[in-house]
Formats: sequence, structure tokens, C-alpha cells
Amino acid sequence: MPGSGVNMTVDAGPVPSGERPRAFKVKIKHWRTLASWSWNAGDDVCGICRNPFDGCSPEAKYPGDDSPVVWGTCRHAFHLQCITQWLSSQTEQRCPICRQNWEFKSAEENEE
Amino acid sequence: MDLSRVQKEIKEISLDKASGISVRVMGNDLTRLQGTINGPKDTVYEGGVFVVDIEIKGVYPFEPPKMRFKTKIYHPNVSSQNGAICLDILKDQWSPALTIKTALLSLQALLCSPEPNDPQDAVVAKLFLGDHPLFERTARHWTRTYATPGQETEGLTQLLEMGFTREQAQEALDGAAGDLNAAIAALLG
Ligand SMILES: [Zn+2]
Ligand SMILES: [Zn+2]
Repeated sequence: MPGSGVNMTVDAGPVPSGERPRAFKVKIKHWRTLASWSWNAGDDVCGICRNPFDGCSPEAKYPGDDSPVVWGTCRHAFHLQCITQWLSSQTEQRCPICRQNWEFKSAEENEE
Repeated sequence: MDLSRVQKEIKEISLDKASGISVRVMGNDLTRLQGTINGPKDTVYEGGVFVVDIEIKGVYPFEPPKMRFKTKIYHPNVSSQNGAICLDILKDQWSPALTIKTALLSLQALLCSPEPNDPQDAVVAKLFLGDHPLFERTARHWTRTYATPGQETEGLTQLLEMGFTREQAQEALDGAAGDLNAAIAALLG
């Protein structure tokens, strides 16, 4: 996975009305240029549709926007659409790769 | 259907020359494929090439590909009548992380290790457990007869020369597990 761990200052950009515009400092642990943008997943390819995570799920139109990547507590990653479609067709909720019980890993747990 | 995934899978199989499986597209969409499995070495299926009909339905990969042996095969987990296959990953143990390739490789593995206690063909399974030498002779005979491209067994040739029709001769040989004398006896009996 690309990631150089740079620190940078970003402007928060337009904010919803009613909130004061402000600039804040963020620490970016994984920096990617737009050209080589990719999800921070253990594997580069969705285990269901086999499309790269920086591409679309078969149901989505635009890379990234409509194809969020989600993780299970087993650490396997899939497009949200792909895993949702699989789980909704199953009575037992299991990871397609390791067959462990599937539980969505929360966002905080992913930040390490 | 997820066409791009099926296309990728077909390409991946065609690049792998070592695994003894192949797949080709039948017709002009990707819903009908035909796979082949080389009979594994040191089994009664060695030397045979087994054709598997594959149907990819619109919900693939969320449902398994439908697979059926097109080549007649004598195996406890395959119907000797219509080629239907009893294999868990093609049914309730399917996962969308599996592929056409892993399914064909699983079939190849099934040829190495039949599971007669969970049979598709009860008659074949009974013979497998009850008279294993006869099972092996019959399975080898079927491999030579139905799965060996361009080869007519010596027994069949002789029976044809004796004036029996191909159907009669084949049926008698199958019934006699390929034993020519027993087949002749049956035909004349
Ligand atoms: Zn996907
Ligand atoms: Zn998993």
C-alpha cells in the first residue's frame, strides 16, 4: 500500500451555513495523490467482484463515490454493495473468504 | 451478471496450463461455458478428459455456477445417468469468493477422493463400498470408453465386427465392466 506519512495543512473548504469558516490542522497518515488513489485495504481486489478497490463495484458508476470499501472484523474487505448483496441472500452471515461470522468493523477500529 | 468478472476468470484459467483444467465459451454470451478436467494421475480416471457443462446465471457470483458432467463418468458423487454432481461448494457451501476455476479444481479433487457416504449415484456408491475391484474395473472402462478422445476400445471394435450394433455392443460392455467375453456371453445369452 502506498503511504508516505506526511503532515500537511488543509483548508476545510466551504462549510455549511451557520458554522464559522475555519482552517484546521490534520495529520495525514496515509497520503495518496489523486492519480494513484486507492483504498487502504489488505488486498487490492474485492473478493467478490474481483474489481480493484480503486475501481467500481459492478453496481456503481464512479470509482470511490459509490463503491465504499468495508471491512469485517475478520479483516477481509469488500465493496459495500458486494458484501451487502451477498449477506442479504444468506441466512447465516459469514465472510465469503474465511467463512467466519461476518461483523462490520467500525471505522475507528480501522484507524491504526 | 457480472460480465467483467466472468471474463477475467476465463482469462485466468486459460493462462494456467499446469492445472489440467480448461474452459471455453459456448455461443456468443458468457452464460454457457464448457470446462474440461483431465483425469488425475493414479486414479481410475487417468488418461480421460472429462467435459463439464457450465451455466452461469445472472446472479453469479452470488449463486454458484451450475455444473454437470457432459462426459459419462463412473463416480459415486456423479449421476451415471445425467452427470449431475453432488458437491457442497456447488450447492449450499458456495461463496462468491470461489470461482469457476476453484469449482473445476474441486471437481478434479473429487475425482481423486470420492465420497461414497454422500452419494449422488447410490448404485455406484454401493459398488464402490461393496465390491471395490469391480468398481475400479467399471470406472476404468468408462474412462477408456467415454473420456478418451478418439479411442475406440478393442472390445467395442470386435463386437462391431461381429455384427452387433454400436448401442448393443456398448451396453453389453458397460454391463460387463469392459470384459469382452462376458459381454459376448450377455449378447448371445
Ligand atoms: Zn466488489
Ligand atoms: Zn473473512
